[in-house]
Amino acid sequence: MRQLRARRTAGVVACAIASVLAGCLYEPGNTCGPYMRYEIALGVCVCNDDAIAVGGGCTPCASDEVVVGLTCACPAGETKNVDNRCAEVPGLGAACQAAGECTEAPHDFCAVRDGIGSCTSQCAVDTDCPDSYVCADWEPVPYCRTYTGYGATCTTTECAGYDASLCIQGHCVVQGCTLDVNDCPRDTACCDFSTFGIGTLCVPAGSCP
Amino acid sequence: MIGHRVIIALSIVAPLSATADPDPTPSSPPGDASAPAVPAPAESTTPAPTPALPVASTASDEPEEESAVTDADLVVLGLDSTQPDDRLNIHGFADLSWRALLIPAKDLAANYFPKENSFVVGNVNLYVTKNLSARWRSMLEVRFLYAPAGVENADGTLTHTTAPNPADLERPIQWGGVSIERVYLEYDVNEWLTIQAGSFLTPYGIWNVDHGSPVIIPATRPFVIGESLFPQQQTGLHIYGKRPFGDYQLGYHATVTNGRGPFQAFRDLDQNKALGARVEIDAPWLDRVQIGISGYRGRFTDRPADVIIADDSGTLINTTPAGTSYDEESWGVDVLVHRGGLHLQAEVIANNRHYRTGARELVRGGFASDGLYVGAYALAGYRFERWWQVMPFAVVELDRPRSGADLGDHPTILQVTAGLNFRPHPSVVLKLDYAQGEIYSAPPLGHSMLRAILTQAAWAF
Repeated sequence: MRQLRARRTAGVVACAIASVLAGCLYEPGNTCGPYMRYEIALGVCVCNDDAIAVGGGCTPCASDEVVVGLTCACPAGETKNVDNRCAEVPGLGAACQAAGECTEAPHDFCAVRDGIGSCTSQCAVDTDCPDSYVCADWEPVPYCRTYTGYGATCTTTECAGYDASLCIQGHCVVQGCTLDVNDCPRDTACCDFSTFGIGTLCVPAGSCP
Repeated sequence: MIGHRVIIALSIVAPLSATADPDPTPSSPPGDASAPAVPAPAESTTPAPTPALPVASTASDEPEEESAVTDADLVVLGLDSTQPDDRLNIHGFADLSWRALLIPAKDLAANYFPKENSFVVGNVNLYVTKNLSARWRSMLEVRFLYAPAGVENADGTLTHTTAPNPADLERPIQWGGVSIERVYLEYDVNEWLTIQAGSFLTPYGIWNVDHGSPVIIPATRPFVIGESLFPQQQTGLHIYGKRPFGDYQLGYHATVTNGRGPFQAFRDLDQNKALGARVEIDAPWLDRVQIGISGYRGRFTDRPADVIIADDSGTLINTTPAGTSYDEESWGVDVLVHRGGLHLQAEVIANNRHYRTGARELVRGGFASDGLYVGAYALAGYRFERWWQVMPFAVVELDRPRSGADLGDHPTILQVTAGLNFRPHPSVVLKLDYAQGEIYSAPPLGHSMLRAILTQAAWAF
């Protein structure tokens, strides 16, 4: 009789504990936070394509903005207007092949890279350029330029064809920069990762190994 | 990255405390807590310090009946909580290991471990116990460490801890730290209820409570224990007791603590108290069978210090950064079986973690995901009477860790350990382990196999 009572008591207590604990937190289909998605190839949560990391979470960009590296900014060819909305800038980003084809000042400089030209402006410092541009002060004539693909989420080969052509740790990064020149996107620095077999990379400033 | 280094290292090569051998001396009947002078009692898995002679006891201080609960590590030392003492008891245990990783040094997996074969001074622990009266007891356990010596710095260098020795012409001397493993005061309300206050080992399963290396059968411990799916220690209140029902005995534990945290012993960064419970039943089946279930629920928070800022009106306000914070729940089931020299034990443990909004941990490639970690191990051994009371044993473990940056999506860990455990003297245990672990994970680690040999001498004093 006593043994039966002991078994019964243990069973009741066990059920009570199990009912308190079981399933309260476990949500198999929801392993990430707001504005995130689970990236199976990486085994981690990443921000949605239209959101950036802020602290321990993701914040969506405004509807008129896109993710550029680690920030939200106007798409290439646009800047904020007086209503704080991204709007096309006449001439900025227009295709060109030679000087003289860009007629909209101050975007009257034709920058040609890899045989493809686009109209932009000359500059001295980054703040002379729209948010998604960096002042390429390593060029003979410094001008505002973008790095395509920089910061995009990737798993394997999605970065091919972009300026940020290497997929590493889930993001497209710029590979092959020059250490002394620091030819990198805005707010990043050229660092030597040759001991890891991947040469030089542009990484957020202050993150060099 | 570091986290998984720890995971794997703890499991396969670290000579840390592993599993308890709740196997009393073969000549001692199971459950005879007062008999064993051998480092393997663990009749009970409940921490309780050694009583001493009542310093200022009165008739009303006398407990109605001797407490049935004992601490496995203390019983090893011959410290019997049912006997009074009139002095401060200082005892302890230590272990020395030799370990060797049996994989090529250039293997990527070898980057996660010290790849050199080394002699290792692992645990050097002291117990200081005293009965303050027949009902009040005090317990302190400290572990002496060489850390932070050898800690890898951000630039890849290793930390050297040397200081000029004023007693020896300022020649360099190496220093280390101290870890307070547990410190508590406890009071026997009656024979079924003891209240413990302080920092204590979380009462879950078998392995975590019997943590001294002399009472543990292998020299390595399973992933699922090393990963601390339940907090290893907690600080707060713990009530526990046992009550016999015929040939059966029902034990219980309940805890209210600061929960898991970087400073859990002295600061609860989220002020969210964690709750835990355990129920176990001792049955006279075979020689002895113990079945237990444990649960825990709490919140982890690690954050920077508060910041004073001015609001829009210029008033100074105190703001609290979110940092990293998650809610977690753990549960476990354990079974312990004794039949003559046969020893079987198994635990299944799970932990589910759910990050709070905006407080997710940054990891390589993104943020840590929520998820479930489930692991289990089973240990079987047989203690012979001769050949230094040798016990051949084997441990099989299977883990499904959470998805993460290091091991990718839904990794699997399978580890098998086999070895011998000798007791040439009641206070000395010699161990020889061979462990082989396989990790099935995403690239770049992919499928890795780790093999290691570990020998250990552990002794109580």
